[in-house]
Amino acid sequence: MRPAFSVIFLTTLIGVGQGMFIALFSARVFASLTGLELLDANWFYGVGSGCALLFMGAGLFASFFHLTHPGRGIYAWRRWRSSWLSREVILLPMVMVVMALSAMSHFFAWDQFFLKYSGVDLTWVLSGITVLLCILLFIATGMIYASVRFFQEWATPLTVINYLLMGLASGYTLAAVFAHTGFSSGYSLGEFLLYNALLFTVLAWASKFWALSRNRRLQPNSSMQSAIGVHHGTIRQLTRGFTASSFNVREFFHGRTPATLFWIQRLFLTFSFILPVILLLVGSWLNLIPFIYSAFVVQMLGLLLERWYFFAQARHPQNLYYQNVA
Amino acid sequence: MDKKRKKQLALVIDLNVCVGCHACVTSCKQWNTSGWAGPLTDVNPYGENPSGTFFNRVQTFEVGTYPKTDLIHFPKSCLHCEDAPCVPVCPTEASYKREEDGIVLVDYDKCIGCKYCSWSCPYGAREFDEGQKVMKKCTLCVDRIYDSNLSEQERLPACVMACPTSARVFGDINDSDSQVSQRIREHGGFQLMPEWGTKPSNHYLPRRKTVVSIQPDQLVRADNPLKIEGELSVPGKDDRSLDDYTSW
Ligand code: SF4
Ligand code: SF4
Ligand code: SF4
Repeated sequence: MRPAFSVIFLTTLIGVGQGMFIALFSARVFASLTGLELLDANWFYGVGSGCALLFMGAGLFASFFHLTHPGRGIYAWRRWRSSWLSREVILLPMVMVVMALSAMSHFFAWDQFFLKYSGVDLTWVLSGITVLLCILLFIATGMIYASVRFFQEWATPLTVINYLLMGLASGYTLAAVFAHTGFSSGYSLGEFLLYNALLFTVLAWASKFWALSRNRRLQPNSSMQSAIGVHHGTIRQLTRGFTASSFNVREFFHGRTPATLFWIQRLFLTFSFILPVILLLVGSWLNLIPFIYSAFVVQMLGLLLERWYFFAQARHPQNLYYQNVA
Repeated sequence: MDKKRKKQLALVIDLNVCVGCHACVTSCKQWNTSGWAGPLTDVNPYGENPSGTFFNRVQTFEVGTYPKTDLIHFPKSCLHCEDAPCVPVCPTEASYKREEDGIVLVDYDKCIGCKYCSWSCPYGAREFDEGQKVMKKCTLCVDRIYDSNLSEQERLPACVMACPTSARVFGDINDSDSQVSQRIREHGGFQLMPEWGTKPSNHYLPRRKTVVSIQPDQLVRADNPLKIEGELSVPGKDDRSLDDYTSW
């Protein structure tokens, strides 16, 4: 099908935001388990969560370009019982609100205040809820695609796993970059974040590889025979019924050559996974911070290409009806 | 108590008689672009690269290899699936299936234009209107079939009324006595892409071979009783026979 740029940006940007928040939360768990002394912890988590929130906001902004009547978007929660799109529409603002509260509770050190009066550390509660909602949002985003059974390339649990892992990979990479921006907490947590960025990038690579090889073996469920109910081995469309353009032709065909698709695939595999792994490794061994920075930029580029490919590779059964112009 | 049988309106399209004239396409366009719901937008209709919104398309397929080919004209509109996959995915409830007659409709005032429903229709029956920026599809002419201002015979979908060969028949497929049910039963009606479990309500009737068998004696004069009596010889092919003298 034809990839829509609004959706490409929406899914990659909120993926980074959610991944970054989860990364920071895990770093905090790590710090408290290992008893690391962090001098500017609140400042670090507060600014970091705010940064994650910026990515979520940018994603939300991009999503509006996908809708032709964004103003009516407020009704989009109504089918939450059956539509994963509806569920995402509910979850995205929820994540953003709790993430903002969690960022502020760090930033303004609300934890001290609450700890004093209620004995509960509010920042843990808020960021715990945020992490939970982030994971649910990953599932909802993935399921939007995995639940459309007509796109056989998407209709697999691997779609959800890929969305989750690629979000975590890019989120941890961004968190590693953030840890190298001069915070003293960053010095203590930088390695933890960087090695997790490596781990999740490799995991995402593996699951993407798995999904790609699954899709190579796919047999289309529908055929010309079932499409028009004529059971003969040779069926050729003479005309799709119109010479002009139509929605069905624009939305479901990407209009690129197989060679372009092949090269985009090679490019995104290199940019999303191979190069970031090399850059992160070299960056941490030789302590070259620009390498770590560029790992994130390269990975983002790669993931945008990956998302483009994800849409373009998907073939819809309706295409059987739109093969030839008279 | 038995649950009441649900009504499911639908079209039955006879591929055996469709001649591919596109009368249903143009009449559908005319009816649906003139109603209160606003036009079916054509973008750039007289310029370069035109593009339009239609609820119904007629496509043509060639089956077999020349010279042993068959030409199939294939009209395609929304099939008003009984298990419509396009409905539960719509986040705003703009897409819905009517309880009372099974028609699948879009409430244009609720549609946000996410196009998610079109991804969930395997038949490509939904088309996005670039003018009103909402998703549209065949309404089964819901604004004709119940309109008491129209005469009884006219309460039919526009495409059904326009078809010169009566290739389109309209009715309730859950009523076993209806004309559509009879046709489905008697002429081997089938559904498109049954593999997806969408249970399309519209059915298609297959091509049927029309065979006329003529015996050799039917080609000559076989109606001469005198010949049987042996009184006269067999008449020549062009001779006058009893039929030419009497009106029975
Ligand atoms: S044909 Fe397509 S649009 Fe019509 S009811 Fe079935 S799935 Fe929905
Ligand atoms: S395009 Fe409109 S009708 Fe289709 S799923 Fe989106 S809101 Fe619903
Ligand atoms: S039933 Fe009405 S809307 Fe549907 S294809 Fe026929 S004329 Fe068009």
